[in-house]
Amino acid sequence: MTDKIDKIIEYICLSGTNSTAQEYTNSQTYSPSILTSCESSYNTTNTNPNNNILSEENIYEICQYIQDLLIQEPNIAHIDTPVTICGDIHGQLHDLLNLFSISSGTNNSAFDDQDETNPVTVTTNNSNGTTTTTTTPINSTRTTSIPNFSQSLLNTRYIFLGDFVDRGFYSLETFLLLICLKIRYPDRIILVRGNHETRQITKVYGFYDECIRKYGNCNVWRYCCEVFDYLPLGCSINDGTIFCLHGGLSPDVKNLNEIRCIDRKQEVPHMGAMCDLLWSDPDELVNSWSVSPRGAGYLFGKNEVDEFRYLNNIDLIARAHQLVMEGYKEMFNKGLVTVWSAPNYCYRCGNVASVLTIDNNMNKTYKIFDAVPIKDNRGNSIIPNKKPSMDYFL
Amino acid sequence: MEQLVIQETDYDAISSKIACINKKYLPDPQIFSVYPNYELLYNSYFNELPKVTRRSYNKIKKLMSSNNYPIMNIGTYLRTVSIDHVLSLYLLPNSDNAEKNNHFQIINLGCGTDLRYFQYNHIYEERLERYIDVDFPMAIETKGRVLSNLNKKNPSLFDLNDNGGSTDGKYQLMSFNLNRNTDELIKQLELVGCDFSLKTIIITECCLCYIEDAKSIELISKLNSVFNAKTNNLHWVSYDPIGGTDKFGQIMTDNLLFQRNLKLPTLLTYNTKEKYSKRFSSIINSDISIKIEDMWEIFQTKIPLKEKTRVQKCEFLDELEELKIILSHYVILYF
Repeated sequence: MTDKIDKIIEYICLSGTNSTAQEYTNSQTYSPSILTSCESSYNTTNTNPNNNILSEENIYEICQYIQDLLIQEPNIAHIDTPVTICGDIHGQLHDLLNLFSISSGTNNSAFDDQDETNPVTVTTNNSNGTTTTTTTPINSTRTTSIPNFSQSLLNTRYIFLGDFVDRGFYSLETFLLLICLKIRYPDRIILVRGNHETRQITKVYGFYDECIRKYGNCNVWRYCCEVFDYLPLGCSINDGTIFCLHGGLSPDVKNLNEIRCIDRKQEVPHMGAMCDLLWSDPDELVNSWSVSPRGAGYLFGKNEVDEFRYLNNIDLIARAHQLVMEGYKEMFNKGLVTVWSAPNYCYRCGNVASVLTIDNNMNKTYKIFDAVPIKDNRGNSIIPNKKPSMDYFL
Repeated sequence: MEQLVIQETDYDAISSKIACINKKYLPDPQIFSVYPNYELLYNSYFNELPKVTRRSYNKIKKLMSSNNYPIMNIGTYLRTVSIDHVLSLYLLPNSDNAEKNNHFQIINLGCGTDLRYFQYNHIYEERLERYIDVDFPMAIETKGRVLSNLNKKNPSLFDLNDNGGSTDGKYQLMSFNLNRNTDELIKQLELVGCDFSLKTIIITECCLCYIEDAKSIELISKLNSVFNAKTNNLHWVSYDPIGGTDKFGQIMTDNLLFQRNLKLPTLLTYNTKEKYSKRFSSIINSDISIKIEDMWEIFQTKIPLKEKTRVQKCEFLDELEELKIILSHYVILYF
């Protein structure tokens, strides 16, 4: 199993780095292909057995395996520092690989054409004794080698706050890479469920269509959706003073124990605590629970955040779920932060992304990064050829 | 080749519009109450299209299957109703007695598959003197053939002659490449019965954005002078993307150039509402007040709450921040 998982990780990374097959054929037992031009390699009817690493059978096997692992995790998972908190990824595989390089400090080896100048850092001292550091945007280039995950995951642990899939063109690879890493390094990576990790939303926002496009049927989508149902709903760090989740608070949850007793192994309901945790948004203009314009979850303000933090002894609520042009946004006297990790969202929004690193002294560092170029210096594009148009009004 | 690339943007427009109709965003109840045939009109056009050009039909079908995120449907809905509402509420108020006897004509430059003539002819009847659809020769030929086929099947809905124009000459399809000399355009407009002394509304919906800056200035200024020479009664409704002051415009430029070889020569020039509106205000009479709103403002302030709720219920919208970014880069200008 480990061997197979490593091969899949390697395969996805090679695809994501757009490396040309010739460079790797000597060292590989299978021929990696460029995802953008070779979607047929997913098809199990492909006659070349070396191309079947992402076969339906293999994906089924991984998805079953990880369910056994995830079922052991409580609704609120736990992880210790040093840890890197990551927001929405949305199928942007190339940017995810870049994220690993940047966050683990291994980027020098993983990049070519890396900007020589060191990123400028801004450090501020917080009232509670910890410090916040923000790096200036890192000019991203496409990684050309496989990230050294065993090194990355030794340097820092990871929390991914959901929304791995939909919108981007590589939802399947993104999700598979993350669950493969979870299988290989189970206590160093936590995958929290986002509002897109549901059957209903993935049918509308791209993951379902992507699976159909790549396999001609929806089997792998079904296998992945089963995994979604097992993902935890939140994560606490160290002694629980930092609490992470995808969306936000719920009027049905005063105490963390009310999250712990949710029966989470189901499709996300349309209302209630589990729904709210994945859908709600903070809003500086509301002073009590308010109707969310998204049609699910609630808007909540400083009062709700302060009360929740006080009752549960939490310093910081870290969440994702909302696009922030600057990559992250602190609110309510730094009692809550939104972290967004999909740069140039949907390949057109022009935003930067960030990850939040917490060190052993609970100091916070935001690393800001840009999207990788759509085209690399070999002319390979990360936009699939089959996509006839970007989403613009013409 | 460049012409074809621009012409094919009509496939995006019509595929988005039909997707909106299928998902019940369009027609909005206000339009439906005055023109109940809206859905029938567009669906019958689309169903007839493969009999005239299977290639175009297939391309539109393909776009429909790939471009169907709720965010695109909301944007298409807003683009459509904002133009309709500017016309019906601001430029052509039916209730206004003083305006009641005012006859007018509409010229739609770069009309593509837009079928507003049938809608407006139904609503305004005798007030609408003339409606001229202008586009590239190939686009007009296709449109004429499809409409004339439809006319044979359903004469009461269309009431057209064999060329696709209306039997009474009110509706004219005119082939013209807008990159050519504007004097020539004016001559041809005259030939199809354009009356330069009549109240005139020019529509440019995603049209100016494909034209080189100098050419678009010539177009606006020459049309302005020929219509205003006889009467001070020229109106203009223009919908276009704007580059913005963020990275959106540059990314849009790169994406469209890379994906389709489509150029937007003025996207980054007229990148704000102020600059886009200056494009007109530097040319037209300074007494005329030009209004400009972006689609996010329209969505937030111009769509009544009840209608907004209806629209948001058509599909489940997952993200508002993104919607705001996208919508604030499209504007409607009118005067």
